[in-house]
Amino acid sequence: MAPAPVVNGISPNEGFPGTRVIIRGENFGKKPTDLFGLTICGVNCLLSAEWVSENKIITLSGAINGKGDVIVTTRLGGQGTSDVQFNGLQLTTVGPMKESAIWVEETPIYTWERPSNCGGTQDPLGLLVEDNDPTISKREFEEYFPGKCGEFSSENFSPSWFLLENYQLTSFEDLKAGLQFLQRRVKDQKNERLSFLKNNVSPIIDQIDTLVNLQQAYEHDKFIEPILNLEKAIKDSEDKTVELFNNVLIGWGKAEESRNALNTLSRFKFLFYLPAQIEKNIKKGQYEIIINDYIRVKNLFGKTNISIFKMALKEIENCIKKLQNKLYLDLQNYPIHLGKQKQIIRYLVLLDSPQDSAWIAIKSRFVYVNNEITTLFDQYYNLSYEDNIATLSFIEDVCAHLLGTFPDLWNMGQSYFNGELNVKHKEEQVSEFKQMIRSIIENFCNSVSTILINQEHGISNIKSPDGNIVTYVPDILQNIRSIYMLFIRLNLPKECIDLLLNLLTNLKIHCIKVLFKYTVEHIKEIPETWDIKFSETYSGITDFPLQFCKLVQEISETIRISIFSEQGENSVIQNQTAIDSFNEEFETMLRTSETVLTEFLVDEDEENQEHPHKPSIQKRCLLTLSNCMYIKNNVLTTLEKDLNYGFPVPQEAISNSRFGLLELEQGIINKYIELKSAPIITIIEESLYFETLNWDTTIKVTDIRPYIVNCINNFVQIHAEVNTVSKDLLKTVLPKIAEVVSMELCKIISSIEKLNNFGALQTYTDICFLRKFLSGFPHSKAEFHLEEALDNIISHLNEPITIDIENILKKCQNRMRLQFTCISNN
Amino acid sequence: MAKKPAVQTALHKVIMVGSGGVGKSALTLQFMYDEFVENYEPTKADSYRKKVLLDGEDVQIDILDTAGQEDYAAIRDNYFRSGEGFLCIFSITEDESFQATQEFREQILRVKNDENIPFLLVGNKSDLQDKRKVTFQEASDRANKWGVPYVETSAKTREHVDKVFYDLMREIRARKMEENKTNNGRGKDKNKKKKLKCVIL
Repeated sequence: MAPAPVVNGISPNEGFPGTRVIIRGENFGKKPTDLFGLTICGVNCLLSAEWVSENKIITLSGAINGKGDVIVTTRLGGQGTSDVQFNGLQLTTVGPMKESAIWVEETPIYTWERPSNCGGTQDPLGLLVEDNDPTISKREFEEYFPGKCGEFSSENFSPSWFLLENYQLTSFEDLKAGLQFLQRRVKDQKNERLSFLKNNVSPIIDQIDTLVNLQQAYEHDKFIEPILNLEKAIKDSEDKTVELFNNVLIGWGKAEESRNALNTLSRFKFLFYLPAQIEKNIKKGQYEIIINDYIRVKNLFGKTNISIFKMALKEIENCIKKLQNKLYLDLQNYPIHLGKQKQIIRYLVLLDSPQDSAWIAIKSRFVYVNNEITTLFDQYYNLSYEDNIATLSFIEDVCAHLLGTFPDLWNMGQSYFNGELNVKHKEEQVSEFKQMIRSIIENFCNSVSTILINQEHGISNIKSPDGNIVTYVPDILQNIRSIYMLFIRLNLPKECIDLLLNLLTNLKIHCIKVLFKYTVEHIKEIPETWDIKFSETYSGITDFPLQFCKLVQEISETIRISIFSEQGENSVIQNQTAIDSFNEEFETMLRTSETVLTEFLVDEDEENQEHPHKPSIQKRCLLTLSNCMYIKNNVLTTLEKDLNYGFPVPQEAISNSRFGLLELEQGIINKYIELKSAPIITIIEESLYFETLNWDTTIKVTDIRPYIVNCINNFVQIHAEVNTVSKDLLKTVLPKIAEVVSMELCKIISSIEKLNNFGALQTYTDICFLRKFLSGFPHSKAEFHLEEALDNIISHLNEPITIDIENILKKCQNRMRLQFTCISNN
Repeated sequence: MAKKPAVQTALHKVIMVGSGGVGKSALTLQFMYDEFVENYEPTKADSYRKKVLLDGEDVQIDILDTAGQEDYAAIRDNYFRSGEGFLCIFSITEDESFQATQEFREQILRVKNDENIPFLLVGNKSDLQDKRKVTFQEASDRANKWGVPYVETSAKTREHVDKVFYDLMREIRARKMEENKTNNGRGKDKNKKKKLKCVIL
């Protein structure tokens, strides 16, 4: 509770009603509304009070009579107290002789009120008293003299009041004199009436005349029925008034109407501005706002019957139609982002588009995706196929296209059928959509397979700039696989995925085949440098087997990485015909080596000029043989063990290949033996036939004949030749040659019809020496043949052998120890 | 309500006199409410009352701020009659107001009929030294001649504002105590009678 307000200052402290009074004090409240009440001398002045501050209020004094407290009441402080008093003055007429502290308005306020008794009231005792201010207020008088009055003319006139009021300070002597004066005046008054008339004769007569005139006029009027006139006048004025009133009423009504119209217009400003607003927002692309506005308008005015609203609505509908058309165009303007398309669909749905925008979008998107594939395909198809990179770029393009656009289509479809787009779908649309997806995939598969598989210009023709197809196949497969992964990710129906899987499988099979074929080509192209390679384990091979091995390993690596690396795509392996064909191709590939190796031996004279460094046929034979054995023994074994295509390595193919190689080996060996043994045989033949003539000569057998030496030298030469290529071949080749030579020798010996003793002995020695020499080649049938020959010769002998053959042989061996050392080295 | 404090605590009635615009109201408002009113608005007659502690005694001071303008000269007598002490104010920047103090002094003496009525000659606006027209000596001489104190004040800076009111109250108090002692012998005086009557009422 705040302290009670206290008034301790007032300015001014007296005044007439309406005086501006400044009240000062304390605790007048904190704000204007705290001021609850203000009375000055019990008169409420709150109405005119102006709260200035906690210490100051300004107000106008009311109709106050006499002194009184100034009481301020505040909201929190309650009714306050007053230390000062306000003296309310009354509006009194003041005589010219009366002293006044204020400026007196001399014109009487009430003009018809004249002083009741001129001079009498003021000073009936005839005492000119200076100080007759009423020091006692009227209220105090009323307390002292209840029911009385100080007025002369009043019935309740109280002489005491009158004297106190007017002559409070007059001395008793003066009052007595006053009484005498009054008595004298009362006496005089008896004569006063007559003297009054006397003094005012002419005005009185005037007055009488006037009265008479008035009476006459009144009586005259009485007969002209003044009341009727009055009535008529009243009626007229009444009519006029009604007319005026009606006019005003009409005017008011019109004003009201137009104001209503204006109000309506401004209230529905929104509606009427909307078309322009829509146009503007269409330009800005702020469709959300348009939709909001449109929905609002539809809610507000959709069911209106007012024609102007209908017109406005119609206009708005037109705008919306335009917008819808524009949105439809936008919707089908590809490429378009999926989110954007969905947004447009949402707009169209919100705009109450009559058509199924989402379905249109799906269809158009389908057409877009499908057409793009076809377009790319046609573009590619019209190109010349010289450019192999185009194929790859087509695959890349079409895959990129599908990767980019297909998910959108699928997502759109999913959204549509899930009801995310707030559109209800029909059942048949589901199958139609499936058909779309299917046709896209089919289109894609057809395009790809046409280009890569079915076409004569397919993958098999692709050649990269460096001629290595291996780098391209993984790319192509990777692209197709990315589509497959996409479909898996999108959770497409199995039939769709299967379509692609089928394509992928076919493509893989095709690729594998192509790769094999390619490798075959490549193997065929391996150049033979005839440089002998030496290694710790295998010596005497050329580059070819190594290259061959490398190529096979490379291709297997490529196949494994690019085709079988993906999990869950083992469809290729499950396809038995595919496996069979792979095996076939694999075998073909392996056996290419045979062909190639054979070819190396065939070209004899034609290419000699081209390859000046080409070694002799004998050497080539040896090298090829060595290669062949290397491939058979090492390469194939390695492949068998290490090869990993991702599918089982066909053992059959390897063994076939091995078998083929073995055959080839035999062929080469035979050829080489033929080549090598022929000269030796010729030597033997010639010597034996030549010397047949001399069979009769009798020369003591002291030495072996030169042809044997020649033979042995030939052997040593062969040995050297083989040894330069490979030690391993020595065991294979030399015994065979020895065998062939011995066999031929045997034949020749057996064909000799006649032989003298000496000749037989000589030949026996020769053959013994040869046998001794050839015994350096183990596991040879040569010895058998030579034994036969020796037996044959012995049959020609007439006498037992007398000479010391062993000695001769020893001697010769000693002489030819170099040759012996040569072959015994191994 | 107004009677109660009259019974319990002494009430000293002070009247501010002086020419128009010398700062009577300014001094009063500064004393009462510690505020300095810049704008000039002629006063008619304002009443203020404040409880103050005078030398350890609770007293009430009743200030009647009168009109300085000549228009109201006629009603001054009435006011003067009720006053127990007077602050006669002039502006040190205006010689006319200083001259007018003579007239006020005479009128007060005539109405009160008392040479020793508590009275202070106050030269206001002491902050406006550069506009000074009435010298301190001049004013001091006049005060000496009248046998009253002379104080220079500034309603703006509050210099000596409290002093003049308190000095005057002390004089009034001294004067009342003296009167109480010699109450019997002085019953003749007309004003005295009337005042007593008022207090009773």
